[in-house]
Amino acid sequence: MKKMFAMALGAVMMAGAVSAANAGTLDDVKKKGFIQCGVSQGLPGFSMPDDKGNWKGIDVDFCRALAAAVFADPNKVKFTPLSAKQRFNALRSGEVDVLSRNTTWTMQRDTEQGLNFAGVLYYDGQGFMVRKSMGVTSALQLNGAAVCTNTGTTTELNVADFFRSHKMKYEVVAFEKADEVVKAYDEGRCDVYTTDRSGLAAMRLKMKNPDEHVVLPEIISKEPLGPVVRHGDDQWFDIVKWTLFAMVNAEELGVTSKNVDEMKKSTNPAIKRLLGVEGDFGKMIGLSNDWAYNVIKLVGNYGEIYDRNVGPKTPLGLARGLNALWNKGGIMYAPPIR
Amino acid sequence: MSTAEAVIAETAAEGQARQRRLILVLLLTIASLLIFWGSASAFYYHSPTGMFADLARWVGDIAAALVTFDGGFLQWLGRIGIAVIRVAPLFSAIFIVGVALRLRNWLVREHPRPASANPLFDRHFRGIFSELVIFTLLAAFLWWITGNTVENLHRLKGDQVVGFDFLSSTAGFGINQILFIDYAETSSYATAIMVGLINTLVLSFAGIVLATIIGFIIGIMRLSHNWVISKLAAGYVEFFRNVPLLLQIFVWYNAVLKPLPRPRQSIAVADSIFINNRGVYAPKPLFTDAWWFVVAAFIFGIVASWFIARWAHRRQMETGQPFPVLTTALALIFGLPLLTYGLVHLLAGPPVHFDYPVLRGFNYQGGMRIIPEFIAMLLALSIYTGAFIGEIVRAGIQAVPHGQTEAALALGLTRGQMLRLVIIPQAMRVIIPPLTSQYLNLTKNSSLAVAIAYPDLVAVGGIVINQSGHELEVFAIWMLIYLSLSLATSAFMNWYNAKMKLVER
Repeated sequence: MKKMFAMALGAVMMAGAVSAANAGTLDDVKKKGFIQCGVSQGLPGFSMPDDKGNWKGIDVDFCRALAAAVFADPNKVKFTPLSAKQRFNALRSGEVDVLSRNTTWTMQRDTEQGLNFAGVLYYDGQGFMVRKSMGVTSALQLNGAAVCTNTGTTTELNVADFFRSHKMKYEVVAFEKADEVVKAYDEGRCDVYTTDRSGLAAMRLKMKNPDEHVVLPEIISKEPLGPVVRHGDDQWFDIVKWTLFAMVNAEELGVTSKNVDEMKKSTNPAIKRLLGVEGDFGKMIGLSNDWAYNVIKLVGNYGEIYDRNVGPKTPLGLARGLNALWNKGGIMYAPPIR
Repeated sequence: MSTAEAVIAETAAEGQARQRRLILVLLLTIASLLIFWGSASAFYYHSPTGMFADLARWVGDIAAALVTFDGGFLQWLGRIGIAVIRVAPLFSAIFIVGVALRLRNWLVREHPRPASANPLFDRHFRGIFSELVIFTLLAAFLWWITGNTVENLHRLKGDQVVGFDFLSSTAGFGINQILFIDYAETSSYATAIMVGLINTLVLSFAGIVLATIIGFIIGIMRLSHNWVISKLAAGYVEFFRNVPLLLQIFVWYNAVLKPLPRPRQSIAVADSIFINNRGVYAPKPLFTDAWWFVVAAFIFGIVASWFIARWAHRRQMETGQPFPVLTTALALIFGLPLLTYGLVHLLAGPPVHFDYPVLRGFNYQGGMRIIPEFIAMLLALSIYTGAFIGEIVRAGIQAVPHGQTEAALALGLTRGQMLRLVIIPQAMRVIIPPLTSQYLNLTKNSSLAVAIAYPDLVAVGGIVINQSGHELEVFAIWMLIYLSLSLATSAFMNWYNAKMKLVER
């Protein structure tokens, strides 16, 4: 009899023990040996598998940078493709450790949705794409148009705001997958395709005839895109945040993946702190002191991952614009490491 | 053996054993309650007395929800739902006590004589005992998962955890099919979900009607003696019920979208109906006050037909004289309103005006419109479900023995009368129960609409989840709505089944 009682009690206690997990993301990540990173279902330049199945893109490179910071190995990362609709739930439920999926930083997401934005990886704005044959030159001429967009995005809300504030009518056709949006637009279900301008440039590459389309000049919103973590784990939040800052600081200090070893001998104290020659900055976030060195050596600084994935020499051909460093005409600015 | 005799026949040793078992029951009950209490306090309330404080608050919440009927029907429902869910685990404590009492009663009254001095070797005792253990563990598990969820939500979202108050916030997104109610981007989430619900209902209703028509045609075709017709129907059934529905939806969506022209090259039917890849546009009727005369005539026609049918039935029972009920009813229901329409037209001008769709800018404006997503969903759902219904109809008709046909013909009924009065009523008894499940399936399958951007309940709810971050609440609304839809459908079909069933005297 006593045995049975003890067994029952034991089962209950075991159940209780499980619920205590899930707080220290860094420990979990170290234990399983890789970072689970949420990315898009295929957005060229941001996150998309190449023909060999390797994930490529600026969002992907950020995940690799995180893996380099934690494990000194950029390949210790696994990717989970997520739709716009699934992404926050996947992050909140712990299915992914970090979400690096061209996600706009908004107040409601940062608070009510239980998420923390670790900074801005790409400053973007929402634009419209139409067929050249329509003869439209401004978004203000779009009264009565059918607009294809993604559900569960800020895009969906911005487009509603834009048409309403200009007293124009529109019909929204909202799909769950980005590919379906493009397909529906390409097949003529909609007159207009709207998303972030970087997304327009990227998804255009997936259309039957990319030259038939034109992006209208209006930018109707601010879309700061960045990596996201869930509430409740400050250490992990710090790691993600400072990995991003380290990459931006590295560009500002002229440290690249090619010269990082020479730079270790630099006399500039800022570089010394960045590369872990001086100070205990890695330890402050629970990593080794050469964390930023690994990030830059194995993945690159911010400018490098920008140019490699979305810059002017890539098929996307996006100029740095707002994403240039603050001292080069842009607004990309990182707090100092000290 | 009666209870009194059993008690009399009891020996002293048996009495002792019984006493031991009763003490054991008491101890077990106390242990179960302690585990229950402990798990509730540990996982959910974080203090031993928290349960009572919360109970008082929940009763207050329910009362408040009932008194302040303020924000929207869904919100109100949600508040009561939450309160009920929170109180629900407490019922498990009552259940534990209930099992214990049952065990005690049973031991004293029905099984007073122990089969063995050791209760653990007593089969009946073990049965009820394990019931108690399993239930206690289940209750502890429930506390653990609800506690875990609440805990995690607290950590992620802070104090404003779960609740339906967000439903009154501004939705902010557009929906491309709004029927019967008003919705704009400034409306609330609750209104958006209602729009989605209406879209689901409209799609399911249209799908059920169309699938039933297709199913009956296919079912009867399969029984045809014509080889080509019956094989055609068989091929239809085998093909459409074996290809996954989602695939069919995508195929229909592309089949609807691809061949249709752009708005400026629309296919025009009689210069009033326009078909393009944005949908089908038709003139929208605008009714004047005089139109109500026509409606009144229509309703009068229906009521009058019903009375005539009753009178004709009685007369036939009494005198054996048949009366042409069908033609009279048709004349009354359709002829009378037509006549009224003509009269009104002559006396007061046309009772109906039409708002024709006009090509303005990008697309047709005005008129009525059916979006291509609806057409694709309707086709896919009704053709898919029609294949299943076809088989059900075939089975139903084949279930009526051939002797019934022969008997009917021998009585001198015409073929039509035979079908209507003998075969179909008996076939319906077999058809209705499985038909109900097909209707339920169709309703639930309509949630696949999210794949092609038809704004049904799931699609709109998904947007709400994403924009507001309240997934638990929206999931609860989804489950509640689909459950009520299914229960309502089966309640109706059960009623119909009871009506159609053979009256046995």
